[in-house]
Amino acid sequence: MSIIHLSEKDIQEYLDTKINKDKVEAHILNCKECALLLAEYESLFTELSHNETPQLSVDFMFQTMELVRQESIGIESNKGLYLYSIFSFIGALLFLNYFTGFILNIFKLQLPNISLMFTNWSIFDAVARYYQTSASLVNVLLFAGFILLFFALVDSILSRKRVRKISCFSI
Amino acid sequence: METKVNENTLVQQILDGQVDEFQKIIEKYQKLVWHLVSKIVKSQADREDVSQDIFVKVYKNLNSFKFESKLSTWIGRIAYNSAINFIQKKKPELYEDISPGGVTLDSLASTNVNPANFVGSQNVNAILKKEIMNLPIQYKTIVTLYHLDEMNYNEIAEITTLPIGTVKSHLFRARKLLKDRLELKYTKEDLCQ
Repeated sequence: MSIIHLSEKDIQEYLDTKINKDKVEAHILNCKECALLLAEYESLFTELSHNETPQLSVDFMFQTMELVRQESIGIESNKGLYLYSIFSFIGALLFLNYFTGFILNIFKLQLPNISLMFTNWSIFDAVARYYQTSASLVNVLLFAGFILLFFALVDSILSRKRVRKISCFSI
Repeated sequence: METKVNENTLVQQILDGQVDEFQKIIEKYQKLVWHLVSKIVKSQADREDVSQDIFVKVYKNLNSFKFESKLSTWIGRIAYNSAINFIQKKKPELYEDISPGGVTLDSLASTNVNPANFVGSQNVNAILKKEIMNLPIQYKTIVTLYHLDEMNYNEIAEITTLPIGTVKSHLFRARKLLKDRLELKYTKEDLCQ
């Protein structure tokens, strides 16, 4: 009578999950060939679990943290840069408007006919009146814009210095 | 479960600006990253650079981490993709790297060493290491994640973006291949001792 041996898949699955435990253990009691194959896989599995790769260098953590810190400064200054760009743009518009009335002029010169097509009372005239009556608000905004521009300039200079200092240190 | 909560808190702290807390993530996952990188990138000189880049990438993309998945599989996936991208860019150089230090099975077979002296010694481990390195990338990655990092099929599938069935069959074939290759060098009895 021919013996039906365990397949390699059966043996690997048994070692992984102890699936078909009874079937496999009963079989290897009477089958030297399968017992040998099982032992062979067992020793391979043991070797694989202890097959450590070479160690990382001692200062890996330190160097990686330095890179991460540099990156964090980069991210922070980028975030700041976006904000400062927006505020600078607003500040520049207010600045131009204060001296030249540029926003009002654009609307008044280019769009009066369109607005008059719908109503006699132009929205742009309302804007013009608002600006005339709240000139102090414009001044406050303008002043805030200048302050922000100043801080943006100082911060960008300082953050560049910080990054350079860390780079030199890590080298 | 508790580990996941702790990890989520840690990630949140880093996102809130506590950069130094990232050190804990490096400590915990440097082994996983190193295992993956050292199996995929052949050049020893490049391995640490790639590993560092992976952690910087992890930090940069931490805000896109979905707290639903495990941090280990998320980092593992970044490491796997980064290492694969690296070797795809540096293919010609890596080819040269294989030959000088690499010992093939043929060269081992030609040495006149009694196999009995090897068994139980560090040499079996060294040969196994070399044979693992000769496996296809997906095979050695799966073997490493399963046996060294003790990940399950689902986690490996998530990292490698392979279906679970493929992960299982790759793992089976890789181990069979390793066993067959070692058998070429040693007798079955020697390996089982």
